[in-house]
Amino acid sequence: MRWKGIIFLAVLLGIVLIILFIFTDAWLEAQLEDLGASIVGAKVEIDDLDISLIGLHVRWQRLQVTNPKNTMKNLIETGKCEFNMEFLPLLSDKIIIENIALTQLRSGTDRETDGRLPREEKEARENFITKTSDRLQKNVESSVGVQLSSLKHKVNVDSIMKLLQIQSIDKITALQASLEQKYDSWEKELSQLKFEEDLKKLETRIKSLDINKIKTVEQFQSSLKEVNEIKASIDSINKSIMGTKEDLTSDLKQTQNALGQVDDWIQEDYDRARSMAKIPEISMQNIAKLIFGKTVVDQFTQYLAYIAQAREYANKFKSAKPEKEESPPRLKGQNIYFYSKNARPDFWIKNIELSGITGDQITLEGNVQNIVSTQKLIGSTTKMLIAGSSEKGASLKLNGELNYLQEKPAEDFKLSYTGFSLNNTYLSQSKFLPNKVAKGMGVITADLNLSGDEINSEIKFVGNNLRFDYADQAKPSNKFEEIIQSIVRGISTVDFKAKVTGKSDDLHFSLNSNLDDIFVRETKAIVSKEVEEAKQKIKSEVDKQIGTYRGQLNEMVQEKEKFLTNEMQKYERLINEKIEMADAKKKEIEKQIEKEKSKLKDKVKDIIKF
Amino acid sequence: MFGIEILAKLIKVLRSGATPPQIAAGFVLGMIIGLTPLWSLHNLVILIIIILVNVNISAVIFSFLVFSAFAYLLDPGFHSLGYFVLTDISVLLGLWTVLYNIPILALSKFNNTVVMGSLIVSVVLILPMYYLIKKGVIAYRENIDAKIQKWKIVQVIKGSKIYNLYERIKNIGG
Repeated sequence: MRWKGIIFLAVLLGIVLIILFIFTDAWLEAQLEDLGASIVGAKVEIDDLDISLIGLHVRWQRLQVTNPKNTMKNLIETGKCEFNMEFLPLLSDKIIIENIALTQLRSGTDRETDGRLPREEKEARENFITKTSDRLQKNVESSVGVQLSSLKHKVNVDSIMKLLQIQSIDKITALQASLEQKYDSWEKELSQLKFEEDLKKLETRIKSLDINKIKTVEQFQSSLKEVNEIKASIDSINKSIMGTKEDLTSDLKQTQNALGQVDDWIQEDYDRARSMAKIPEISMQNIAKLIFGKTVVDQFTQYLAYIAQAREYANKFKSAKPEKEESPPRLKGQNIYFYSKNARPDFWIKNIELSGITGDQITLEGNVQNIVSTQKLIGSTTKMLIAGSSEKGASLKLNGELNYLQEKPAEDFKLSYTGFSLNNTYLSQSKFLPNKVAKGMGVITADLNLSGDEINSEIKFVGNNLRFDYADQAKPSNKFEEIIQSIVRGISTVDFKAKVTGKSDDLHFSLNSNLDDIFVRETKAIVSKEVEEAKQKIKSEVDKQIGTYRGQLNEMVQEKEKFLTNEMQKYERLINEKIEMADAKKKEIEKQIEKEKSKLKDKVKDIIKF
Repeated sequence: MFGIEILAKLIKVLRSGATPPQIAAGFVLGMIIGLTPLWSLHNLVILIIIILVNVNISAVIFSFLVFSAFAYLLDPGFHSLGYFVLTDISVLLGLWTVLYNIPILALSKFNNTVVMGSLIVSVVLILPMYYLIKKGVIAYRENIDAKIQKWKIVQVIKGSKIYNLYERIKNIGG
């Protein structure tokens, strides 16, 4: 035993006590601030923490918890706070606090300095909640963009015409060539016919039959025979002409049928152009997701992150055999907790009394019971109830319970926030609804229920009497933004209902809003009108391009048909003339024969009389 | 330079006026502090022992420095051993539970895997290390010291500032 050592030890103890007296407050303040910051994800600041070792009395002047979404604002800020810690549990490394009164609780207060934490790459531990958050984020990101891209630009007639590649023109040109060939062939065939010449010969033969020169019955009979022969020849030619006419008529009929196809071809070109300019399908859910999805999901995942923290802490203090941490920080290790049935938990704030006022003057009161490291040791769940109302009629009620008594962790939160002011707020982070709300009132009801890895939640929001601020509104850069802006100008109520249900590997997220209906209606009206105009433009453009070819075709067909028809009519006329001529000659001869017969009869009668 | 200083420290320890058991005890206590996380309750106890009992403080410091480096390297092994002892040996669970719920003992952080693992290794090494060091010191003084004193490097170290500083402060600890 060395006496110098004992003196040294005494001096050392004295120094330690002095250091404790001087620095404990600052050290503990820093420890608590770091712990709070790790939970919230932004700075947590405690002003003037003072620990009195006599009676273990703790107090601070102010507590600020930064809003991680807006680090120049506080999520909550409290005024002066005092509480006592129990002494004996401290010897067992346990912190037990009977009651904390947090007064002058306020939310949304401005910060003097930025509460952002230095960026730190944190290895994310995958669990049900991180998986759920990831799935929700992906769901929102992938839902809309692609489908709406078709809406972003006006219907461009020029580009449609380029893509269209009108097919009628080629078909008309081909038809025209084919018909020309056919007409040429007919012209050639008609020109080779010798009906005219033959008929002239027959005409000469008819004319050569001079009745005045016929004297005898034999001569008459011979002339009659000649006429009949001429007639037979004319009939034969007539038959040929009729046959040719029939063939020509049939061919011309086919030509008319072919011409009828032209209309079909043009119609096909119209139809294809129309299909290129058609209105895209817009499902209602997409719009709500696009506008409110990110806001809702971000908020939702933020709350899920808090729940994940609570679960992680609850799991950390779980007795029995915890899962081994694969690589804890060097020299830090992993704590294993051994609770006996009647032991006290490592950390337990039995009751926190809250009172304060929100940004929109709601006077809040409430309490949080049993913030505890191991619920099983006290046999109670962590519960919170905060409620209040303002003179203007706004009210807020938040009920919550964290239940880690059973093997399956469960959390349940219910929020009702009605009649709050939306003045100077943004309803969405989306660039499609960038307008600040100049005036408006809101109602939110939310249920969040988690049990193990199953989630069931619903958030309803209604914004009434809305008036948006257009001062900073940028000029729309595309059709979609234009439609959204036009819708926003015309609405005074916005509502949406978001639902997240299922398990992390089978998650269902839906978001519906009244903007869905309005958007779809307006979009269809605006875009349809535009597309109709475009269709008319396309029709006239198609007509313009096809018109010349069609006109040429029609002109050619008319001209050729007229020519061919005239040719046939000429032959018909000629043949009819010759038939008439032959008939007349035949009648004349027959008449003369009858005359001669009559003369002969008279002669015979005279002979008999004598 | 650090290597030379360590060597000088070792030679000074071996040649000091302390007895071999004092040096061996100091070495073993320094080993425990070095292997286990510094801010633990048992290390406070060991510190008090070091101050109160006549052990060689130079040996404590030397041993602490050497085993701290080992501790850093062996940390994953300590974690695994501690986890095994604390969770996998079912017969001990009752003991740990009782100890954990005794005031003050909970502050010892015995329930930490690295504390437990490193403490077990330290405890296992106490006796072998004590006898090994004691025998080593005796053997050194009887057979090796005279030869080493003739080495040029030793002459250089003897003339160094560190050595002179050590000479001045070596008697402070007794």
